Amino acid sequence: MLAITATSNSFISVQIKHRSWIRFSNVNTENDKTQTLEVHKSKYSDVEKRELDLQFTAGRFTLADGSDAYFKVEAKYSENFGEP
Amino acid sequence: MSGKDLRIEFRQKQNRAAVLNLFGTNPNYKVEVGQNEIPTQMKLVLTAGDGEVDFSALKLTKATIEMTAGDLNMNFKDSSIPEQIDIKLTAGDMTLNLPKDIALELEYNKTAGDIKVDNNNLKNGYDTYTYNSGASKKVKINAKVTAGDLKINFK
Repeated sequence: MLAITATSNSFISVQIKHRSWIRFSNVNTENDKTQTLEVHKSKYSDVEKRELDLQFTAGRFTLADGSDAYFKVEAKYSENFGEP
Repeated sequence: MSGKDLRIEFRQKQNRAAVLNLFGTNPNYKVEVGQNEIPTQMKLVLTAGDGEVDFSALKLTKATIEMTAGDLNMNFKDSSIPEQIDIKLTAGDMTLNLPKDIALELEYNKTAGDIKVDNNNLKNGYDTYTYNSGASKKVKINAKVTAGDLKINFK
């Protein structure tokens, strides 16, 4: 599964490089408040090493292990400043 | 990078209105890293905002953390302790919680701000600090602190 995550005032860019291919980049949705991106094992089955390069410039984030996916991000956008 | 490596870049981009908070944006991201047995290198850059990192099972081989503002709290439990952590702190508050039974080899260069290891305040300049050196598992931390507060705790 490969879905896309971004919000109207909080664009994100995700690049997935595997076997020298760039699979995905510069994600930008319309006005959805919450979306999820998942880089799943079924699509990238022979991974032996992983490299994460993450950059956050505002808001709040949590980062933890636990999902089945190689990488999963759920993004939410709040209209009320100061409230997550 | 070989064919069996997977590299994932995540960038948060904000438009001008969002940066100025004209529309009160406050994004919230929940990121999960699965398939824990895969050796993983991580670079994390935080230029503002708040972050909470909590790894207990991920096989992390190296972590690089750069922070210019904000508040970052990181928890590494036994099986997720990387061999090396590189930290560059320009401002903001960073807290690193490590397991009690691990050895620490810290090499640091501090201009201003605070570095506290197990509540010991370290002096300015270049120096090294070791903790629990007899332990079988060790983490090496290279820290460059220009300003801000770095706390390393053992829990």
